[in-house]
This record gives sequence, structure tokens and C-alpha cells, in this order.
Amino acid sequence: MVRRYSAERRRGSWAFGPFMHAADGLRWGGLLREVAPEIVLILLSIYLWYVADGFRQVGPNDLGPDFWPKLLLFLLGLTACVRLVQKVRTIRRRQLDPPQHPVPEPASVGEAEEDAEDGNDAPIDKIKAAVVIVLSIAYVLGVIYLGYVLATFLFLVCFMWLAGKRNWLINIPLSAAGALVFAYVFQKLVFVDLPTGTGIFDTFTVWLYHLIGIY
Amino acid sequence: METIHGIVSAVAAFDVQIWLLLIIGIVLGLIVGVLPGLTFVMGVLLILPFTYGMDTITSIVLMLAVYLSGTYGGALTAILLHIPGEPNNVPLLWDGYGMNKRGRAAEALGWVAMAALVGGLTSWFVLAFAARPFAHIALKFASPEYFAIVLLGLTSVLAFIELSVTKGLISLLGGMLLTTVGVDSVYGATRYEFVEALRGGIDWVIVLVGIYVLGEVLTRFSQNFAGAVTQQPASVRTTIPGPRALWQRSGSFARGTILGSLIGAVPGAGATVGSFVAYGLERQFGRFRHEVGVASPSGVIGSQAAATATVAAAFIPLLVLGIPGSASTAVILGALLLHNIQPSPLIFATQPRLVYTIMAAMLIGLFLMFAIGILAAKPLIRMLKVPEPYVAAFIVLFAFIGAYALRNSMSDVWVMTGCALLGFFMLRGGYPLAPLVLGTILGPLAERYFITSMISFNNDWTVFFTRPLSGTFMAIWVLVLVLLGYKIYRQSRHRTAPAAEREPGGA
Repeated sequence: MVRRYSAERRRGSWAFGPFMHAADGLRWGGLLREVAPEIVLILLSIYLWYVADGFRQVGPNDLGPDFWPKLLLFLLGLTACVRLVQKVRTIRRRQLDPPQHPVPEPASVGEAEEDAEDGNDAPIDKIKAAVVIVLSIAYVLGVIYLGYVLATFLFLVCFMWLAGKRNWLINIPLSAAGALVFAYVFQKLVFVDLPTGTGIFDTFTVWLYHLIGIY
Repeated sequence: METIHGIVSAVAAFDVQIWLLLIIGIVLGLIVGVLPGLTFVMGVLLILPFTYGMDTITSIVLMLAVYLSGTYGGALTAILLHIPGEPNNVPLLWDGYGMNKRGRAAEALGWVAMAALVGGLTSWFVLAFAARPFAHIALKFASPEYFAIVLLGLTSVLAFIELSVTKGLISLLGGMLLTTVGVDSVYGATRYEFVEALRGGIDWVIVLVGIYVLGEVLTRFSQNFAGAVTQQPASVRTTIPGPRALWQRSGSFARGTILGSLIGAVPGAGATVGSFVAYGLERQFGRFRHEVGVASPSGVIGSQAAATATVAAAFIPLLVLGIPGSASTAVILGALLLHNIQPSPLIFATQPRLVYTIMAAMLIGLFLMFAIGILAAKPLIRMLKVPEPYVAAFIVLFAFIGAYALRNSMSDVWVMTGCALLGFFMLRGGYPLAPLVLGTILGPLAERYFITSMISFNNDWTVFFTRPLSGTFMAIWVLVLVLLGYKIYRQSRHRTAPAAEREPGGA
């Protein structure tokens, strides 16, 4: 955050916003990035309100199934508007009274204390974040098409490898044992009907279940 | 008398399975407490899939044991290694670790063990002897009273969070909005079923698994599991304080336990809030306030006693009103509903065995936690040697099974993954997650009680203020609103103050 702020200072673009003249280095992109969450929330509230209009109607004296979501959407939109105004005002104030020396500023306006208190101060590796998100989604898809055992084995191997644990002599047996033990415990003892996959993978999972005594 | 008889009968009826599950639960709770990547809410969620195949009593006993000892396990690492296993152990970093640095680690471990035991026992007495009279009063409750209590819970979460109130409110409303998806419980209308996966609605347990389990793994993975523990303490010994020392610190015990019991009973506030508020109380009003913050047993006692005291107290609104006081009790409520048990003021009449077993298990669990926590401290600390990536990989499997097994549906797994991503990005944007979770838990209850109140009282909204009981709750709610208003005012003043003023040493 400090680095980002300092970079902005070096470029002389600290004061971006709608209150600046274009020649002063107006940065609409920066402003939009600041207020994007609030704008998304306001637009989402309007859209969901419109969808709620289509809910089944009841008697004229009843509040109806759309009342509660609309109440929440009104409050959500209103809170987003309040935050939007707060952010724009803070940006304006920053322009009028820029700090004389770099102060650690958060990524978003006026949230210094919030970032410090969220307890999540270790930096995020964006590539790792993208990788683990893709891996999680791939695992869910894998369970559907490959079946629980195979998908779990592959997931565990990939997860450990990507997390920096690259000893295959540990990872492969641990992943295989983990997948089989989980399948056995939940399928056989807790009676959870785990997905077996499709086509050839289904046949493979069923064969495996016979082999380890689940079926 | 009936309560004592019920508890004694329940203990007598304990079979080997219950004893075994109680011990397993306590050990598991201590382990999740010790491991920094695992919270006790996560621990309760992780064992949820195992409980699907169990009967009601055994599953609840296992979950409450994990919940109970989970509030204590993290104290060991906080004191010995300066690593808070749980958010509620953070205050122990100041005084507990401070005592360790001065060569008083054994003493600090003794104080924290005693604080957990005393806090838990006092709160247990409140549960055992106040829940039944409260149930009698609650028999008079109608939907306006229930709505007022839920509204109080929803609002108090905003008053207790450390972050921006507006961000907390957005998070809370987002959570409440999530649970409007699916079939409306009053009119039976379908709402926001955009895709197949949303047909069955969004269960709060799924949201909890997504946010607290998978979401946490996503965050830790993205941080390259930074701050992994490698060091081990030189020695792990515990010295139990003597009667004289205990008497000297009795004020700290009393403040911590009373506060923890009160906070635990309020929906929306749990062990973390309890421990921080109790610590603040010790610092301001304690007899040894001058030494709190450096290496004072009072700082250790107040926060730990309050954290453990919240557990039994949180069971009061859960059992009597069906309103969970914390995320962990929400999971336990989910397990009760799964076994077709609906908590209500009549629970003492309809489910006496369940209620007394819970009380008995909690009492025994407290002593087991005390004994195992002291005897097994060294092996528990050794658990930190297991590399976090291995633990995290298997946690994902539990998250998957926990979501899938609830209704044997892949849709729930998709929803859980979506919630994990939502939680991950919200956390990165500085949005607190506790209000979101509480919104998903209390949101459907708030809607149901509000709409039924309106139907019953001809859309007269003044009913919430004119009925004596709901009026009292609404008066407390107004007080919380005033507190919230003051908090917003302070936050806006902080925000508008010039940067120089906000710096240390600024005017």
C-alpha cells in the first residue's frame, strides 16, 4: 500500500478524481477503481429489485414475498450510496489538502484503520490466488466427471505440489491413501453417496469400490 | 432440583461411546485451537459430515466438545510461541506471552487453564439454572418478541465489529439477501432462482463451510502459508495457582466470567468479542490494571475466562429460542434441525434427555478440557510440526464433503465454492465476514418473524414497541443503535481528520 501510494506520488498523480482539470492528470480509471464496489452494489440492488417485482403476488393487504428482499435491497443500495459519497468527499479533500509527506495509505480511500485491523496482513500472491481458485473449481468439476476418488487423488497431488510440497515419495502415497480413506469412511461408514463419475471413470470407481470393500 | 436430577441421570446414562466421543471432541477442539490455520468454528464444521451418520445426542456431544475446548487450545500457542491459535487468543499475546518472556510460562499456562475452567463452570451454572426459567418466560414470546431479539442480534454484530460500520452493514445485508434465494418460508413463492444450483435455496451451513473453511484455505494458500510455525518451546510445564493467588485474582475471574456469560447469550457476539471486551475491562477497572498489558495474570484470566464462558451461555438462546448465539452454535443448530429437532421454549418438556445430556457433557467436558489441556500440552504443541499445506489440502476435502453430504447435492458444493470466493474477495476488500455469516443465519429468522408479525397484527408495525416484552427488547435495540451512531460519528471524524493528526504524536 505504501509502495502504491509512493508510486502515485512519484508520477505526480496523487490527486485523481472528477474535481481535477483534465490537464492536471485526470485519472478516471483510478477513480472508477476506487468507487467500483459501490457502483456494482447500487446496480446490483436495482437489478435485483427489478427481479423481485416478478415474484408471485399475493393479496392486496399482504406484504408479499418481495417485501423483505426489497427492504434489504433498499438498505443495501442506500449504504452503498453513503459509502460512495464518503469516498468522493475523501478524494476531494485529498486534492484540496494533499499530505506533505508520504503516509501509509490503504488501497481504498479512508480505510487505513480497517486494513490494519482485518488481521489478514500477509501479502497475497495474485498468481497463487488465481491458481488455487482454478484448482478448487477444477476439483468440483473433476468430482462430477472423474468421480470422487480419482478427482480427490489428483486434487491432493496438485494442491501439495502447488503449495510447495514437492516430495513425490510423500505426496503420491499420501494423496492415494487420503482419497481412499475419505471414500471408505464417508461412503461405507457415514453412508454419503459420493459421485462416481461418468463413462469409463464411473466403471473405474465402481471397480475400485469393490476392491476396497465399499460395495 | 429437577435440573440437577436430569443432569445426574444423563451422566449415569453415558455409555462408552459418549465418553469416547467426548474425549475425542475435546482433543480435536484443542488441536484445532492449537493449529493457527484452523479455528474452532472450522473444527465444528469439519466434523459436521461425520455427524450425519450419528444419532442426535452423540453428534451434539461431539460438536459441543470441539466448540468448548477450541476456545482454550489456542491459548497454549499464544503464550508459548506468540501465535494466537484463535482470534479470541489475541489478548493473550500481550500478557500471556509477556509472562513467558519473563520466565513465567508455567505460571501463565496455569492461570489460563484455571480461567478456562472457572469461566466455563460459571457459565455452565447459568445455562443449567437460568435456561429453564428463561424458557418459562419465553413461552410468552410471540413473533414480535422473536423478531425484536433477532433484530438485536443483527444490530449488535455491527456494534461489536472493529471495522467500518458501513462495510459491516453491507456485509450483513449481503448475507441476509443470500438467504432470500429459494422458496420463501411464509408465502411459498420462489425467489432469485437464476440457475439450477440455486433451486433448493442457500443453506447457512453451506455459507459457513464456504466462508470459514474453503475461504480460509484459499487465503492461506494465496499467502504462501506465510508465518508457518517452525520453532518449538524449550519446555512446556504448567503450574496451577494456589488458593491464595486465586483469591487475589478473584475479581478478574468474576469480571471475565460475568461478561463472557452475558456476551455469549447475545446473538451475534462470541468468544472473540468476549475476550477483547473482558481484557479492556481488566485494563480499565481491574485491581491490577497498572500491570495489565505487560505480564499480568489478570490480563490472561479476564480474556480466557470470558472466551470460555461464552460457550455455555450461547446454548441458552439456541436451546430455548432456536436462535444461535454464535457461528459454532449455528452449526449445532443445523445438526439439530437435520435430526428433526426444533429448539423452542418447550424443549425441556419435549427433549429433556437431549437438554440434560448437553448440560452433563458440557460439565464433564470442562474438566476433561482442563486435564487434557494440561497433560497433553507438549504433544499438542508438537502438532505444529505438521506442514500447513498438508493440513490445508485435507481441510478442502472436509469442506467438500461437508457441503455435499448435507443434501447429497453437487449444487451445494458449487454454492459453497461460490461463497468461499465471495468471502475471499470480501476479505481482500476489507469487508468483515462475521456480519455476512450472521446475516445468513439470522436473516431468514428475521424475515419469518417480521412477516408473521405483520400478518398476525394487520400490518401494524407499532406492535414491536407496544407489547411489553418486545418493547423492552426494542428499547435495548435503540440503545445499541445509539452506540452504533456514536461509533459511526467517531469513524467519520477519524476519516475527516487531516492525515497529520492521525499519525502517532499528531495533535
